[in-house]
Amino acid sequence: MERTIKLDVYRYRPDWDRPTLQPFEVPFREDWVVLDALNYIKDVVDGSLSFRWSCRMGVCGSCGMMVNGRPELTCHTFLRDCLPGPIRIEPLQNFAVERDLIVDIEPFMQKLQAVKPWLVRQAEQPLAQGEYLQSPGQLAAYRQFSMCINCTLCYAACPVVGRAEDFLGPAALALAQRYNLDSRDQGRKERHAIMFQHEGIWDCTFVGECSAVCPKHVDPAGVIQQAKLVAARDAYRSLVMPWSRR
Amino acid sequence: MKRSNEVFLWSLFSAGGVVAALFIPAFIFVTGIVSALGWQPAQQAFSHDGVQQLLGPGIVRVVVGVVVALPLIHAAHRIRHLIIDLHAPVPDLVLAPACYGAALAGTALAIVFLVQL
Amino acid sequence: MTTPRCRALGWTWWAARPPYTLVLLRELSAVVMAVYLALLVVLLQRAGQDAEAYEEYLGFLWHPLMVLFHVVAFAFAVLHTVTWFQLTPKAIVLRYGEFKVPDFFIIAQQYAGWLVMWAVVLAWVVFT
Repeated sequence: MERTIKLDVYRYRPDWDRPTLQPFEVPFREDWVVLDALNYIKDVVDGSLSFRWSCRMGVCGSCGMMVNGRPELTCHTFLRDCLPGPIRIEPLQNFAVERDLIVDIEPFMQKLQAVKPWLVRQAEQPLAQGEYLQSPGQLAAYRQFSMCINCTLCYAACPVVGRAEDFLGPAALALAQRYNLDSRDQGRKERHAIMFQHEGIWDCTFVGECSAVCPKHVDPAGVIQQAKLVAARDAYRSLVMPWSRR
Repeated sequence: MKRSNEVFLWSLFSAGGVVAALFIPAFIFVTGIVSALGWQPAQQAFSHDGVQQLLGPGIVRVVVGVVVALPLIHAAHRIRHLIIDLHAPVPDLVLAPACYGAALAGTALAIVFLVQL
Repeated sequence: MTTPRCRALGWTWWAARPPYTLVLLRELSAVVMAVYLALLVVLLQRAGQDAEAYEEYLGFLWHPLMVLFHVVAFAFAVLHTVTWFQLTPKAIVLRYGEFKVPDFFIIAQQYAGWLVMWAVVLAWVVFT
């Protein structure tokens, strides 16, 4: 008798009154991750199960789901770590469910766009001047925050995202800061205008679960607190020296 | 407008958090635990004569004032945000003045009492 | 298409998993701290009044049930201290080129400061 493990999977269609948790028995393999189990279900048991995935190695950010109540990348979560089961698989919290395990991430995309996550320059360096040069130290200043794969696990973990639809959220704020700290960037002022609103950094109460669930160790919670310090420094500086234009 | 207020409130919250973290446990310990349980130096220090001596020097009164004021503002900020995070149906326009107002009242009273000693 | 369902972390987020509950306790420490500070302010008031009024307040403040409150308040105050020191290195990043001061040093420095404050407060009580 092959060893199996039970999965309770959230099922939902838009025309249903309410979702259900459908049980599946899948083979247990030492080297299988939850994503393997989901693909087994889709391939062998129930082809109608819908879920997102792509790289299956933790770099694309597509396969985020709630595994036993915790936001995880399903390609990152081994079945052996969830023994004895059953494993409860649900769509990411704080997002609207489209179907089964697929959520609508459009709100996140809009928040991301709002912080201008690209290098902003007053004027592009002429080609003849060559590349922008950056020392290892300058890279180190923002490198950790550039690791974000937009998986939105942090949004699923954040109680403030659950409360306030407008809250920019961990990843967007971390990426904003990533560009602010990039020596090639000149768009800090524009981003600050967006970050320092109430729905920006000030809605955050440093619960810290965003950083705890981040698969790339970006530490968005830390970034937001660092941004608060920057905001405070700028605010007091403009109080004491209102003539300084920074 | 809301944005610029929040940054100043947060900076006070931060300062208050540092002061609270450093001083409040020790203060609770000496004013309410070992003194009540009979430790002689604390009982003596907080007798009526003792406390006049404790809070005699101006610099001590300033420090005690800070140890009261900043943690009060810190607590007010935290309580306000906790109530918001618990989805309580209290509009911030009511909640914020209530919290910070109470902290300011406590601070004002503390200053008055420390000066009057 | 019907409206997609949104499953939000509701107001009971603090019960969802243990880390959240710890955060709630951390926030509640402010409530207990505020109560203690109120008691301290009253102590300052009574200290400026005559001995009888002051001793009467001490009778209340040092009552066994109040000792229990102070023990609970002490526990919450220490929770605040420990979580605050733990979170400071996240907010204050001391970076010199590629070198970043490790979190451990920042946390250790704060505890060192805490020990100094303990010594100062105890010395203040014992030697005044």
